[in-house]
Amino acid sequence: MTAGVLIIFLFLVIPLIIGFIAATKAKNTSEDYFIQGRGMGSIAAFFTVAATWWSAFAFLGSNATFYTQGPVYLTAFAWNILFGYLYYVIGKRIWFLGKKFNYITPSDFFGDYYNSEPLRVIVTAILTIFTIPYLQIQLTGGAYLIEVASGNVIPFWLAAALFYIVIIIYVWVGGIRAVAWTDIFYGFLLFFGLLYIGFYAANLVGGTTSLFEQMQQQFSSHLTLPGPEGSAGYARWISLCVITALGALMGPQLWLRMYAVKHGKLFNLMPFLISLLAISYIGSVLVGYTGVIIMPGIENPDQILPIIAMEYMPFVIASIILAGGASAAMSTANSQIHAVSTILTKDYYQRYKNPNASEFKLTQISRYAIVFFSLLAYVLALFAPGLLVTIGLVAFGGTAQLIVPTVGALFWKKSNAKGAIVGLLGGIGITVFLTFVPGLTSPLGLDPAMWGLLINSILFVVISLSTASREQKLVERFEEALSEYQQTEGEMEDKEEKIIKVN
Amino acid sequence: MRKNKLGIFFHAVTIIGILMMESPIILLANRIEPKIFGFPFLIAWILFWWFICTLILLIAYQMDWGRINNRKKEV
Repeated sequence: MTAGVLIIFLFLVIPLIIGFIAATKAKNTSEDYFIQGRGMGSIAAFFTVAATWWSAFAFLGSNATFYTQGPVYLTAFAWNILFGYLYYVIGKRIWFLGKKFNYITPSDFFGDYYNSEPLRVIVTAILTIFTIPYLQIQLTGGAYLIEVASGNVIPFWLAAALFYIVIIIYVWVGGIRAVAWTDIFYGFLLFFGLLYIGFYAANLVGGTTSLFEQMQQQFSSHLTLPGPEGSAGYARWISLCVITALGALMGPQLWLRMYAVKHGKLFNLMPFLISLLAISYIGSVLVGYTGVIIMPGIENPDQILPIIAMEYMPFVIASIILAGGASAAMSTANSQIHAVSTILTKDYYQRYKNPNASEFKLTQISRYAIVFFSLLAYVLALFAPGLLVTIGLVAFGGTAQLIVPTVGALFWKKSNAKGAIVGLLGGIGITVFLTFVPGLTSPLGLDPAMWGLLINSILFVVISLSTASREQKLVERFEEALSEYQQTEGEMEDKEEKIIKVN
Repeated sequence: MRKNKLGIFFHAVTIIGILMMESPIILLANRIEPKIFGFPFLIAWILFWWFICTLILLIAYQMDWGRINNRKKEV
């Protein structure tokens, strides 16, 4: 038990040390605090995107889904590819425009392109409201893992509190740089932890071949769609893939990482790297299915991985693996807290309350916001529990709606603010309506957010076509910028420092 | 010109790979037998297309979308 507590202690202290070292590199500007002055190096950028993308949703929820619903979570292999591909196709353009027009938040992009204050407010509200539930699941998952890894010496409420105190301290002192640097540590732990426990678990039942033989004989419905409960068929398969990839890509934490990157080259390599990381889901397959055989009937399926680890692995190794799981949660939570506080500071405080705020004041406000959002997530984690994957889908469903006006801005000249506003309100409205109205079920078994995306897209196109176009000057400004992107992309790879920022 | 076609090819193969995993075609692969290297067919199918896509994304980075300067030289 003492060893477990020691491991947790190290796990909490190492990121703090990394965070403080990162803080020594900080410059005294709000841009540095929010997006590292657009100078994030490739290694840090890759790890922070990967670790932010991986979350408790992936580390705990994946095993739970194989354990209870069969193979539907295999769709994760495709969503990694889709996410990486879109990060290149869409993310690189956003990075370019962010650099050119000096954007810091997602709302800067939407507000500028569509030249609409109401749209800016709606986007800000969507990003804030729908990020908080996702933040909550990180805290719930991470705190639970700390509790188990310590051999229950640290109770859930204390684990959650420790979890956030550590994050608050290093984000407070180091901003996004500290987040990115600690994510390198988290990323390693997470990737190898999940793979290791997967093969370790499979060996408990005689190896992977034997595992699948036994599954076929005793639990064959776990190996094909729609799974043992009959509820996880093709509709859920496609919903999970689309909503997770789009919802994560459009989340504010990933958006800030598009702006922060120094070299565009990273975007070219990202599809391959993110796709490659999907191999770690093999670990989830093996843990989930091994759990079906050796530990049937666990009350809370999200706990299958920690329970197998503590039951069958040497305590010290199990604690390290679980700390890896908590890494998944912390690496996402730290980015979300930082991103939401950036939005609050730039999009609410500076824009509407104090446009002339000093750099120091902006950074201070952001730090207070970090504490506020952490407390909010803490209260939610203690009093509003739920299955991680379910809560995660609701959160992703909201942010995923932003893909429609984003694609419109990047690829369709006729898109306009009215189309974007009506589309977003319609999409979010349908998603919320189908999710929360009791007794309603989403048609065809698709996730409500899929219907939200459909309605959003239709409204966006129809309203944009039937209302006045954006001002000609505005259209030309972005057309020039995007055609410059097409023409000079290669040149920028080598001469990025020469990009002239247009303020 | 050849580079442009190559670029389109990489995008196309990536999208086809995603479709093989995410379109209703997946229901044709929704079975346990035949097992491949001990993996049920559905898992093997997903791993196969994941491998193809990952490989293509690596080649794409090395040959085309990672080296756009080459395209400019050819033009």
